[in-house]
Amino acid sequence: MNRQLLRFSVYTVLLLAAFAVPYVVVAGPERLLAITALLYALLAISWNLTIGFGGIFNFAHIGFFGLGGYSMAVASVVWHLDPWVGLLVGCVVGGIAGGLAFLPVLRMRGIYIALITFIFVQLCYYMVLAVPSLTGGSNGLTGVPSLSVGGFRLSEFSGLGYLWLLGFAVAILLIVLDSVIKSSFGRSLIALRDNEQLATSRGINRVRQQIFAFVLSGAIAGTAGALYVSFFRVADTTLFSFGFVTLGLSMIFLGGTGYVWGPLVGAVIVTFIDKQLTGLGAWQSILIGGGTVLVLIFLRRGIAGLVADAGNAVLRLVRIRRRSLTNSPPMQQKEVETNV
Amino acid sequence: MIDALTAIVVSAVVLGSLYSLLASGLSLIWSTLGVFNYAQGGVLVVAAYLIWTLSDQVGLPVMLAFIVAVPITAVVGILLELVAVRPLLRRPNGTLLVMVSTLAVASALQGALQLIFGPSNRKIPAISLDTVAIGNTRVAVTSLIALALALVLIIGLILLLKYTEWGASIRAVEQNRKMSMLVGVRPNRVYMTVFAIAAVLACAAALIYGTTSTITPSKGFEPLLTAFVVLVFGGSATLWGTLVGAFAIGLLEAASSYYLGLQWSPVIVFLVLVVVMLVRPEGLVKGRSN
Repeated sequence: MNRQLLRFSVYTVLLLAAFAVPYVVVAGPERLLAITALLYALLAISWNLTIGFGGIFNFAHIGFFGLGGYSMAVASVVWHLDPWVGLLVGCVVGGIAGGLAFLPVLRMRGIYIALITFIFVQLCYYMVLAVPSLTGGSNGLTGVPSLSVGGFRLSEFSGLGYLWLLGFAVAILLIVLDSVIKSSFGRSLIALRDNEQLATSRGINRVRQQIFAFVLSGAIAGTAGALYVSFFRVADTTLFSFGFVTLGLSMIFLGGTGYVWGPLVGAVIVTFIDKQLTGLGAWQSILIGGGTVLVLIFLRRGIAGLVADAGNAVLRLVRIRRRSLTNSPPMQQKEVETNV
Repeated sequence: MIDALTAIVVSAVVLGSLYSLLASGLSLIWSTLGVFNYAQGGVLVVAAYLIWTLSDQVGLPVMLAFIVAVPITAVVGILLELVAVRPLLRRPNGTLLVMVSTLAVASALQGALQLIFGPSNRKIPAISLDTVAIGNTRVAVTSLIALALALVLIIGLILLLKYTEWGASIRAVEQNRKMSMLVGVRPNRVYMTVFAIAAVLACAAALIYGTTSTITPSKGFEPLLTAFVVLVFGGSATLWGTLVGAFAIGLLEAASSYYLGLQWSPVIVFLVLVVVMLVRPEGLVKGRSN
C-alpha cells in the first residue's frame, strides 16, 4: 500500500514537473536547449529498453529514429498530410523498422545482432540516398511544418507548445515504461538478459519477448524522430550519423542503464555539455567519446546508480536512528530494492 | 567484354585484399574475446595517416613508411585493449560494454585525427607506378602487391595459429579460458597480442586503402561496415571463411558498381547479406563455432 502510494505521488510530481517546465525555462536559447534535451531523452529512454533492460546489442536505434524523422518529413512535405498524421506514420514506421531489424537474428546467434543492427543504420542511410525523388537525396527535406493545435502553432513563443508536448511525452513515457518493466513482460526481458538458459527453461519465449521490445522501443524512437524533425523543420542524412550513435550511448551509460529515469538524467547532462562544447569543433567528439569510456569504466551504474545508493544509505540511516530512539529489538531488515 | 571483366576482377582483388585484412583482425578478436571491435576502422585510419605522414611529409619510401608504421600501430592496438577492453570485459554484460567503449574510442579517434590533420582528403603516394600486361589490360603493380600482402599475412597468421605454441595458446583461450589458465596460459597477455595482431592487419589494410582511395578522418566506418558484412558472409568461425567472404564481397561490390553505378553497390551488398543470413546463417564456409 505504502509502495503504491509512493509510486503514484512520484508520477504526479513528474506530470506537475512537465507542466511547470515552460514557467522555469523562459528565455529563447534556454528553451531550445531544454527541447533538445527532452528530444534526446525520448531517444535515450526508449533505447535503454532494449540495450539496458533487454541487454540486447541494439545499435540500430538511431536508424529507427531517423526513419521516423524521414516519415514525418515525407508525409508532411511531399504528401502534404497533416503533421499529426506524420507523427503517427513516424511511430508506425519506427515500430516496423524495429521488427525488421530484429528479424535476421531469428536464425543466428545473439551476438550477431551487434553487427546486423550496426549495418542496419548504414542501410537506412543508403536507402534514403537511393530514392532522392522521395527523400531529397543528400540535400534532405526542408520546410517541415510545425505541429499545431487549432490555430496555435506549437513552435510559437520559442517553442512553448513543443516544450509542453515533449515534457508530457517524457513524463508519460517514464510512467508507462515503469509499469512495463514491472509487468511480467518487463521481468521476463530482464530474466532473459541475466540468465537466458534459465529463463527459456522456465517457458519464456526469447524471440517473442525480444521482438516485442524492439517493436515497442522502435515505435517510441520513430515518434521521437518525427518530433525532432518537426521541431527542427528539416530531415537530412545527419539523422543516421555515427556521432548520434555515440551521443545516445553516452547519455544512456552516463545516466545509468538499470533505471527507467537514468537516461533522462544522462540526456539532460550530455545535451548541456554538448552545447558548451559546440565551439570546440573536433574536441567535441574527443571529449564525448573519451568521457563515455571513462564513465563505462569508473561509473558502473551511472548517475542513477549513485543516486539510488545515496537514497538507500539515507533510508538506512533514518531507520537506524528510529530504532535507537524507540529502543526496540533489532528487526529483520528488509532489503530495499528500488530497481526501477 | 573481356576488358570489362578484367577491370572488375582487378578491382575485386584490391577490395578483397582490403576487406580480408580488416575482417580477419575482427574475426580473430571475435573468436578469442567474443566481442566485435568497432574501433578497428579507427585504427585503420590512424595507420593510414601514419603512413601518409611518414611517406608524404617526412619523405620515406612508402614501403619503408609502412614498415615503420607497423610497430606503432601495434602499440595503438595494445593501448586500445588496455584502455577500452580490459577493464570492462569480465564484468556482467561485459560484451555489450566493450562494444560500446570501442565505438566511443572510434569516435574519439576520429575527432583526434580531425584535430591533427584537418578534414581535407589525403592520399598515400603510389607504391609503384608500373603496370603489367595481362591480356589486353594493363594491371597496376600496386594491386598485385595488395593481393600478395593480404595472402601472405593472412595465410601466415593461419599457419602461426595452427603450428606454433604461441598460436596454440591463443586457440586455447578461444576454446576454454579457464582450462587454458590451468595449463599456464595468461588470457590477458593473449588478448593483448590478439589486439596487436589485429592492429597490424589493419595497418596493412590502411596501406591498400590509402594508396587506392583518399583518406579523411571519417573514412574508417565505411570499410569497417563492409568488413562486418564479410564476417557474416564468410562465417566468422575460421579465417579461411573470412578470406573467401572478403573476396566474394569484393567481387560483388566491383561488379555492381561497374554495372549499376557506385551508389547502388552498398545496397546490393547489404541485400545479399540479408539473403545469406536467412538462407545460410552459418556463413558460406562452415567451421567450428564457440
